[in-house]
Amino acid sequence: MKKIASIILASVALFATSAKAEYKFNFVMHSDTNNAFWAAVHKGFKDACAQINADCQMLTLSGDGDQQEQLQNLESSIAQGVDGIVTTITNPTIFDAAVDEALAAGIPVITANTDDPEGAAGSNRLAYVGQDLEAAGYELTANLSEMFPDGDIHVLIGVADMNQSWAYTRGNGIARFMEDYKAANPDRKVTYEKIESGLDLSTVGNRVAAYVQANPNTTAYLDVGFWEAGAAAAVRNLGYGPGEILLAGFDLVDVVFEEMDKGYVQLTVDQQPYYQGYMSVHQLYLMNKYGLSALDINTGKAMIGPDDVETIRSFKGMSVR
Amino acid sequence: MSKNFSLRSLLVRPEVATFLMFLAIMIGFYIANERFLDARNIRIVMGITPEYIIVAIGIAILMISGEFDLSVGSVFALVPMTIVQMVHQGIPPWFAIFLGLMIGIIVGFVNGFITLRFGIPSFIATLGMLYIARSLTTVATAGFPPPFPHILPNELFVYQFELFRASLYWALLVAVVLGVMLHRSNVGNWIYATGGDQNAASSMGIKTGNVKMFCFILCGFLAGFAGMIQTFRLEAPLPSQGYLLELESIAAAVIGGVSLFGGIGTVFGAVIGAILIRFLESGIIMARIDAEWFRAGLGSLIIIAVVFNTYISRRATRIGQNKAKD
Repeated sequence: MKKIASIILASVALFATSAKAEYKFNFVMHSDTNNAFWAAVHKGFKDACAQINADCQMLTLSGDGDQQEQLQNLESSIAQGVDGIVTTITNPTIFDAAVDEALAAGIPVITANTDDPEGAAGSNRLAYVGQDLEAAGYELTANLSEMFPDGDIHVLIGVADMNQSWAYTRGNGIARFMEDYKAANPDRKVTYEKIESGLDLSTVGNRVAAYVQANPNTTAYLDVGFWEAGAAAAVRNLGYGPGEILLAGFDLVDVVFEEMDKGYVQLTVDQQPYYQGYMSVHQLYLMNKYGLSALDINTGKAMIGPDDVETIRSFKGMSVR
Repeated sequence: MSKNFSLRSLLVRPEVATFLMFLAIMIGFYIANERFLDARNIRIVMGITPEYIIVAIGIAILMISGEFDLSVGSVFALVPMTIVQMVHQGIPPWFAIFLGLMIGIIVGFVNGFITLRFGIPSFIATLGMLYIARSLTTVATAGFPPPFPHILPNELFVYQFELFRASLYWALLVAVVLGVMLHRSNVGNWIYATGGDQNAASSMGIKTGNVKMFCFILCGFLAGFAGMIQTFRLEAPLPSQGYLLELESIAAAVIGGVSLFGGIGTVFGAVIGAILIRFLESGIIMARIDAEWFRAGLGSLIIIAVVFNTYISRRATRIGQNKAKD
């Protein structure tokens, strides 16, 4: 009995970390470890931490988008007494009190990847390192619209998870462009519809396939994540040729490039996720070390088409893009 | 002789072994990071834990009666979402709470009815309900999660005192009332008898179907009640709420000494199991281990707990036999 108790005690004590780093930083994100997009954010975070010899911890979730668990991770980071926190804000209200508590405890908080939908007006976080999500949605659709055929247009917008601010903010940007497009083309019938499309390739594929069969007039599908690749496989299985339904989305992941090679995905937006991990840590470091203030960094919304794939692939092995 | 005997009777109780394990983990994580036992961290963990305790108690009692409920995580999301939506539709807050909790009761009843009427394993009936209730939650959001209506009396359930929230007192109330019911009343005896040996219980005149139905309904009600508390704490109804909660609740019950085969377990064990899981999760983060290790830690703990419990009770039985020989 004593022996077992001491074994348990010793194994738990083994969890103690021995690193004596100057600073401790936590990254509290809203996804599980299976989401391919986050690999580059994580790499940027780790690389920056290694450069400044910081003790860093990336806090993922058991379930993609579980905001209660994310809030708990944010609160635990405050309790740890770290020197700085990078977090995403996926809900307009539930993280507010925790962000304020961290700031009151002298822990700087900056957001990366996903900001409060109202930006600085909606949260007291010190800065945002990431894409202007609404503008990116607008630009993506504007660029894709150049490929729209003549005649009536019907666009399906896949808002991955209606409960996640990054998803509906991008969806709003897409919808805003469609409204502008409709106004600019009064002689054509321009319509669009939003669905909750899901957070994995097969779910999105199934939902888009069902939608397209019920609405064969669909011109294009825009996804707020990279799951248009799932839709590509689904429409191919339905017998559609490349480009018969235009497909576009966000982020650079292998499966999207494969579908671009096959001609099914026309456009994706690069938000340079490596910067989101990397720059946020360096900001926290400089704020701690030299008292510098935080600054917003727009990590971009470059449009990537099939012609760019080869160049980007040459960086892929480094896990930064 | 009597001293050894009382030690033995204490040790054969699985929840006592769980409690010892809980203490070992608390000390271990405290060594890893002194802030683990800071008031701030205790406040954070104990702010969340009551919600899990309430669900774990419902699951434990149902498991003691010999059945499972995999739909608790979905009911945990569905009940508060419907309460919030009903308030937005103009239904008075207390009436909306009453109707919302009735949904938990109805889900429990349907789970019980399908399981008992059609004689299928509760594992399957409630697995179906897991998907149905989660889907209904999304339907209830009407496409977009609604804001939290502040006319709901959330302070009554989640008011933050110095260290604990009001929800902890609600959880303790549930634990005491149901602990007394389970361990000190006829209903409790019927539940143990039904889960221990249903045929024997039936032949003793216990209406085992009614007993199980009661446990299903109780479990559904408690899952909905706990979900409502979480929504009141976060002041936001989240459709993702309660994800994987069904497995965590079963884990809490098993770690606390509830038998997977029915007939064995206590309310106290489920409470300790739920607290242990929440502190384990917090401890892993506080020890600066990446959060993805939480599931590995929890998995190991379930195995260790059951092996440990089995070892201790065998050991204690042997001591008893040796003493008897003396």
